Amino acid sequence: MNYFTLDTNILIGVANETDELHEKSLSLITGEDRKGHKCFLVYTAVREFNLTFRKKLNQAIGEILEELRKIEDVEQGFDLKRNLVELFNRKINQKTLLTNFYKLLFKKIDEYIIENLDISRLFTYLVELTENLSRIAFDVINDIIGELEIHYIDLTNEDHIEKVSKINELSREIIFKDKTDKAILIEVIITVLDLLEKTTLYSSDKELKIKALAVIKSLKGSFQKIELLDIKHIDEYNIN
Amino acid sequence: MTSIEIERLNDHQDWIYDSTIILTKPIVSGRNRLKKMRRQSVVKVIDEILRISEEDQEELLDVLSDLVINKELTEIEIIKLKEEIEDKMNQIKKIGAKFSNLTNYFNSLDEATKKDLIKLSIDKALVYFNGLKEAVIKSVWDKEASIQNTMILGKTIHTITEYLSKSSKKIKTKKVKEDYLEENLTVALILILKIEAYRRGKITIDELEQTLAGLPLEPNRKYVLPEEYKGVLEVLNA
Repeated sequence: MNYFTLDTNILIGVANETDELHEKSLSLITGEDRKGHKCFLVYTAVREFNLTFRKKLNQAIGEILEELRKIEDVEQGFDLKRNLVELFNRKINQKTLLTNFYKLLFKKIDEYIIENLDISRLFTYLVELTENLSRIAFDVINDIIGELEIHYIDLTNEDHIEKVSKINELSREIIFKDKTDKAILIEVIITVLDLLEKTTLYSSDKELKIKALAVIKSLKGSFQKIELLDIKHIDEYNIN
Repeated sequence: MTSIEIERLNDHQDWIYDSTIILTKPIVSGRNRLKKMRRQSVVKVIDEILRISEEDQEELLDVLSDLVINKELTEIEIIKLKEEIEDKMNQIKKIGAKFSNLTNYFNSLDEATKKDLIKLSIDKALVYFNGLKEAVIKSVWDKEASIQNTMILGKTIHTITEYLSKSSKKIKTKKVKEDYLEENLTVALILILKIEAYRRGKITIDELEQTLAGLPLEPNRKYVLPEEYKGVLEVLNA
C-alpha cells in the first residue's frame, strides 16, 4: 500500500474552491490515479488548518460584532432590524470575496431575531454560532478524504519519544522558518516509521521541501527505513 | 491593567473552583443526601473541603492549571492528563489526603447513587458555565473590551458546556466504573483548567483557540447545515 499525506496549505486548497491550489489538491486526493493510494493526515497539519480557518472566521465575524456594538440600544432591540439591514447591505454590496458569507450570516441573525424575543442574547448566539461554523473545516476535509486517518505522536510511547529526540538531535542545524512545518514533518516521519509503507508528503512550499529533504538526509544511516518517505512539491504532481 | 474579560473570570473564580471540585469529586455534590443517610464522617470531610481557605483554593487551582499548559488534547494526552490531575489532587499538602478519602467513600457507594451524584455534579457545573458564558460575552458591550479575546473565551466556555451536556446524556446510559471521569467529562475539566490558566496569565488567548482547533467536534445542526458550508468556507479567502 502506498500512502500520501498533505501539508496545511494543501488542506486549505482542498477546502477552498476558489484557492489556486484547489483543483490540484482535490485531484491529489480523488484523482483516478490515486486508486490504491491511501491518505493519512497528521494531527498538527489538521489542527493548523482548523486554526487558520478559525482565525479568518473570527476576523470576519469580529468585524460584524464591532459594527453591532456601535448600534445604540441593541440590547433593547431599538431599531435593530433597520440597522442590521443597513449594515449587511453595506457589507454585501462591497462585493468582496465574502459576499455569500455575509448573506449567510445575515440570514442566521435574522432567523435568530424572529425566533427569539430576547435580543440581549444576540452576542452570545453569535459566539456560539462562530464556534459551530468553525467546526465545519474538519467535516469538509473528512467528507472529501473519507475514513480520515489522523496520526500523532504518542507521548506515552517511549519509542516515539526516543525517535523524536533523535530526529531533533540529528537535524538540529536545519532551521525551519515556521516551527509548525518542522512539527508536521516529524509527525509524518514517526508515522512512516510506524507504518513502514512508502509515503509521499505533498507540500506547496518549495522551501519546506528543501528543508524536509535535508532532514531526511541527516537521518539516513540512523533510521533504516527513512527512505520510505519522499517529499514532493504539489507542482510535481500532474493531473491526468 | 486587567482586561475586562479577565475581570469577569475573576468575578466568578469561585464557580471555577467549585466546578473543578465537583467534577473531580462528585461526592461533594451529594452532601445533603449523605447527611440524610447519616454518613456524618463523609459529610465532615466534604465540609472541610468546601470550607478550605481562599489561599488553599488558589493553591489548588494554581497547581492544577500548571498541568494543562502547552498540552494538545489528543486522545493519549487526555488520558495522561486525567491521571495527572487525580494524582496531583491527592498529593496537595493539607487537603490531598481528604481528596483521597472522598474517592474511597465515593467508590463504596452503590452504582445508582454514584450515577446520581455524577449527574448532579455535571448539571451544577453546567449552570455555573452557562452563567459564566453570559457574563463573559455580555462584557463585549463595553467598548473597551477586546472583541477577539471575548469571542475566543466565550467559544471556549461554550465548548465546555457542550462537553458537559454530552457527558450528562451519556452518564444516564453508562455503567459507572471506578474510573467515572469519562472522556467528555475529562475534556470539559481540562478546558476549565485551561481557562483558569488563561485567567492566571499562564497561557495566551491564542493557546485557547489552538486548543479548540485540535478538538474533533462536529458542528451542531442547530447552528449550521451542510448545505451552508460552502458560504462559510468563503472566509478562507479573507
